[in-house]
Amino acid sequence: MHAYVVFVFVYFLVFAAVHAALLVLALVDIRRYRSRLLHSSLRRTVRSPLAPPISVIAPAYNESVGIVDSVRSLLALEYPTHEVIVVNDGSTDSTIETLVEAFDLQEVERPTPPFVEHKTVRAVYEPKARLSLLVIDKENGGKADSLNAGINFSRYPLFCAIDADSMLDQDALVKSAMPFVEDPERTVASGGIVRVANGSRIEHGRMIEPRLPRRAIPMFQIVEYLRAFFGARAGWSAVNGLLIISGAFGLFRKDVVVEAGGYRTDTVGEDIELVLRLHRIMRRRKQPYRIVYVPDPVCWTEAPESTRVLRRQRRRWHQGSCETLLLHPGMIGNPRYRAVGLLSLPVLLVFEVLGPVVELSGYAVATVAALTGALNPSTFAIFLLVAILYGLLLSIGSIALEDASLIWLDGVRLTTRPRWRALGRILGYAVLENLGYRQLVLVWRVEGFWQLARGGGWGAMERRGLAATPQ
Amino acid sequence: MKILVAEDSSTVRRLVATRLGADGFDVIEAEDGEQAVELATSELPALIVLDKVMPKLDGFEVIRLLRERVETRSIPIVMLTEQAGEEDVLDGLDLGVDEYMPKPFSPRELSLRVKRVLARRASA
Amino acid sequence: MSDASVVATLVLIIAIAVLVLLILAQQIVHRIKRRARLVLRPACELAVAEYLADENASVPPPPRNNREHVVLRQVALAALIELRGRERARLTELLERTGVVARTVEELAARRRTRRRRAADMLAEMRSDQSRSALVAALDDLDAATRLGCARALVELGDDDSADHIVEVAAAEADTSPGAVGDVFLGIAAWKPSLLGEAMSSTSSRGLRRILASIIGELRISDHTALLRVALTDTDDELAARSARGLGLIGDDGSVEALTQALGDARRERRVRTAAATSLGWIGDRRALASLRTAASSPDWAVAAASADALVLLGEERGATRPDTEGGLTVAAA
Repeated sequence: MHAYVVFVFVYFLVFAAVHAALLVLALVDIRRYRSRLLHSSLRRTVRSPLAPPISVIAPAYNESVGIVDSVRSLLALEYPTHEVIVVNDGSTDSTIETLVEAFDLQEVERPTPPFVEHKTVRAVYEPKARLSLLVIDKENGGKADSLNAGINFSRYPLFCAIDADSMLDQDALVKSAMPFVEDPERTVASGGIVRVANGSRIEHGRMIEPRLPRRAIPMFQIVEYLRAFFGARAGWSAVNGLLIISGAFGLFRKDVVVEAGGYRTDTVGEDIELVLRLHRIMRRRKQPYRIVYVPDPVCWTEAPESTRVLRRQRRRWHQGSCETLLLHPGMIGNPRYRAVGLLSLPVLLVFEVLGPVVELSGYAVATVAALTGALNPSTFAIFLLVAILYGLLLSIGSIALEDASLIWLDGVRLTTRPRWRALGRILGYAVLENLGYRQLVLVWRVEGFWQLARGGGWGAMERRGLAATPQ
Repeated sequence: MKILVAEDSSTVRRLVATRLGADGFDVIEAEDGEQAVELATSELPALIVLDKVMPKLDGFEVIRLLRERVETRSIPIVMLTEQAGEEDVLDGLDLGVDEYMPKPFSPRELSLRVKRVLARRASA
Repeated sequence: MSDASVVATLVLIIAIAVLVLLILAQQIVHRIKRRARLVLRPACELAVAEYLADENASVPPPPRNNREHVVLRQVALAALIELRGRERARLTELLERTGVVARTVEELAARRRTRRRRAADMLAEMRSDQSRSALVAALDDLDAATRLGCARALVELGDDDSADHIVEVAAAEADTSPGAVGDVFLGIAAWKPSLLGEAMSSTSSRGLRRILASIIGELRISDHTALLRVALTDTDDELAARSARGLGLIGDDGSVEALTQALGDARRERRVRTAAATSLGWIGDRRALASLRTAASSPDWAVAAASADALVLLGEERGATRPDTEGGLTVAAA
């Protein structure tokens, strides 16, 4: 028992070391981005005839309320050439009718291109005016399925996959396209920073005034997002081991995704799974490539407000990670896949997937040991304290990095304009997170295993209802 | 004559405002889309110089909202834009703009276009 | 074990405290700096605006300290990127006479390469003759990005004497920094398009040829059509595809035969054939009809679809997909 506690302790040490390294790498990556981003870079990209055109694919399920605003803001994005493709995933409300009316659409006959698979397309609509908009009406099949339909109909070499409730910044496309402009042939995919919109003032489907949410659940998620984006993704991107490009916003090269077969519709982790498959294909091609993360904010998303929805989301995420690993077991630890195989996948497996099991069992065993006297109570207390402090250190490190990057990039804060109270609240929640929230999430993640073991039955049901996002 | 200049870059706003001011106009300024709509509604300027990209509400949305209200519906608009393609989007969305001023631009030329639009409106 | 844990705990607590203090310190310092600059900025903007608005206005006094210099430069750069014409030239004059250009030129010799890069980029915006000689010297900078920045700046200035050197510098980086090299050649396309042709015919760099093919095509530089026709038959499929697209954008009916050949060659990669089909549609020459009709029943869906669309543009049949009247850069269209 004592030995197990030691094991858990060592596990935490390695965990902390890995994430500290990621944090340092993230720092390096952000500085590098800052140094390469000349003040005129974005402007020149917007004006450049060489900027690759982008097809923005927006899946929609029962979005009749906000879809028109959403599409209008997508059409208004600042980019030389882009089109908006709305994929109606068999909505049961008036999503299609609303779109047809608002944009004066007419049904057109278009055979479905056969590049990737998806559910049957019932109708295709185009505006009578010269607007770069296409609306696809399709049988219900989930988000991945809808994205595949969008990919088939897209006409540009890059596509941008978003969630139905993603609110994109006006310069989202420019910022995320920059790696492609810098290096069109090697860049395969890029993602940016996604921020939590809860609590902010939103009108006409646009972010008017970012504010911190008042409720605890979204606040905790903000701390998590900060850790994820500043503590992990930038770091992974720096070593070309990036596995996660947020489903809320990702920019991809169409030809590679088509070669990979598009999104898989039989997994809830379609985002990670696709990125992993892209790594695989590019390694197989034996061509130099990169999947990058742009450490600049690009979009806002709504995070779950209630524990119920959050729990479903975490279960699903965990199930998704597990499914992804199960689909590509040969890549784990495989030197052929360089950083992905040797670093990010093992870390995903050992710390993300198995992490909750180890951590929870560690708490359990340590508690039992302390109660039965096998472990010195003071040692137990220290052990617990160290565990909490490790987590806290990483959170604060991420917050520090976010702050620094804001200053370097002179950008808008992840959540709101720098204000002492806001900063204080975030730091406060970073501390509080470790006193219960984090442990609760661990339990939910373990439930994800359970869900997977049950054949992902709940997953399928959720996917229909959550074709766009959990809410 | 009152002109509303809606532009988020303070430098550009100052350039345009100074130019228009020197040409005899009374200039009101807005820093973002929301302010642009507010000021247009409260001040009812003779013309609006509007940038396409602004915080809060983008130029298109500003135009759309102004077109919805009776008082502001017919205020002429000169839009500062990066791309030529913007015209298509605006037409497609059934929104009209009286003149486009592609960027990079010359404030002097902008002022001339403003005067031209006002003259057209006056004679119509 | 217990002692180690205590030590570990203390270390962690200290680390956390240090980080928190760092955050706070960072915030405070940043705000102080920003506030100082914000105070100066409006006055500076007004001074610049008034100078630009009035031909007879006198030059505002030069910046008295580093902060004022930084603010003036920031304001100027924000304005330069938006302006053209007389006002822009006048702003450059202002920067010359207040010593801003001179100070930026000094930074071209800075030790840190980030500062040199930025200096080159700023000088590219400022377009001042005062910076010419320093830029030429910096074309041999150790840092590639700085070299490219200087190349771009000299292209903006239109420096004839260094034309060859510029092309050489840019061509050398074509494989490592295609984006930045593309920027330089975009500038060259506006200044001396003949250089594009020379570069393309003399280089062996695949990367550079691809970049040039894209530029010639997207900018529709019809003088170099012959080069695209040659590149269309190249074994490099990416180059061939871009050339095919370029010829279509230019609308060159002299390439109809070469394009129909590419389209009909089932061994060629899909992207070359689809680009050829699309371009034949854009060119609109009826000689391509037979070839397009054959390709419209190709087993390759993409080729068939592109051909069907092209047929629509030529006035025949209903298209299989949406007619691509503008299209996008074919970095391998699916």
